[in-house]
Amino acid sequence: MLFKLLEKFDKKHSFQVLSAHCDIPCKIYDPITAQLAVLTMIRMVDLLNELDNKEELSLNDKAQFGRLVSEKETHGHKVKDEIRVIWGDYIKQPQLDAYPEIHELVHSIMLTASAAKQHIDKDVTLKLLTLVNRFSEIFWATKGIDTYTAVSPYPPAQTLVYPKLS
Amino acid sequence: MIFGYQIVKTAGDSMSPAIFDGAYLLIKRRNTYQTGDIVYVRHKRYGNIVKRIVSGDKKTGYYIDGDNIASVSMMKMGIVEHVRIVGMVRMIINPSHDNNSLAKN
Repeated sequence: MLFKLLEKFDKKHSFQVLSAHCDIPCKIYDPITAQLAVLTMIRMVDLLNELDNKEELSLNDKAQFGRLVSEKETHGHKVKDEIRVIWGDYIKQPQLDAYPEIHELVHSIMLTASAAKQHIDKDVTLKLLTLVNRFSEIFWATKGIDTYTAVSPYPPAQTLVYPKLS
Repeated sequence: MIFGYQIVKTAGDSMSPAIFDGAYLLIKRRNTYQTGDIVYVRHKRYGNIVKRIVSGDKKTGYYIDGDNIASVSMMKMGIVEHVRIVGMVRMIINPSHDNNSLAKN
């Protein structure tokens, strides 16, 4: 309300502008990469469980098993890397003051991502998604951007937090 | 400036998440400023800018910095003399309705 009033007044009378520009190209951060990496881990677990339901594994099944485990491992590292970079490079004191849970949340993500790599356990990967989604909510909130949740329109069809950018 | 108050508009994200691009600020002239204050500065090199005081006082001058990591660095901006500080941000009216706030003393 107040902003709109000032905006109208500004259009007619033009307030003086103060610069709050950056001197380097602003770094591009987006937790969606970490969220998609968690989805991949969940998908790998689903496919591994499908293999587990077979009575006998063919040579191709065994090769597939190796690939799925490898991809789950790779994306577990990706989750950790992406979250660490945002936490280490973007999060500063003002964000910590606003969201004091960030340190503990990031630590939980690190531990849970490790557990998700170590085991073929869907519950752990789903817990990881919940934590990373919360991180995403906080990240967008620090930028003043609202979020919404929606089920990803592809397997494993889990709920993700998305920014409202329109 | 009316009764020591002035309204200005910001351009840029160097003070995000406290101040977003396009926010309006209510500025009040003060005799002294302290660490943590967000201030309007007439900077020798960077012109009219808004930054946060991170250290210093009226006698020694102030070090200022942006809240955002991509801000012009504190070292580049150097020490700012007291006379170059026009006023302190007393109210932030951000484009997002959830982030309007009164600045701390």
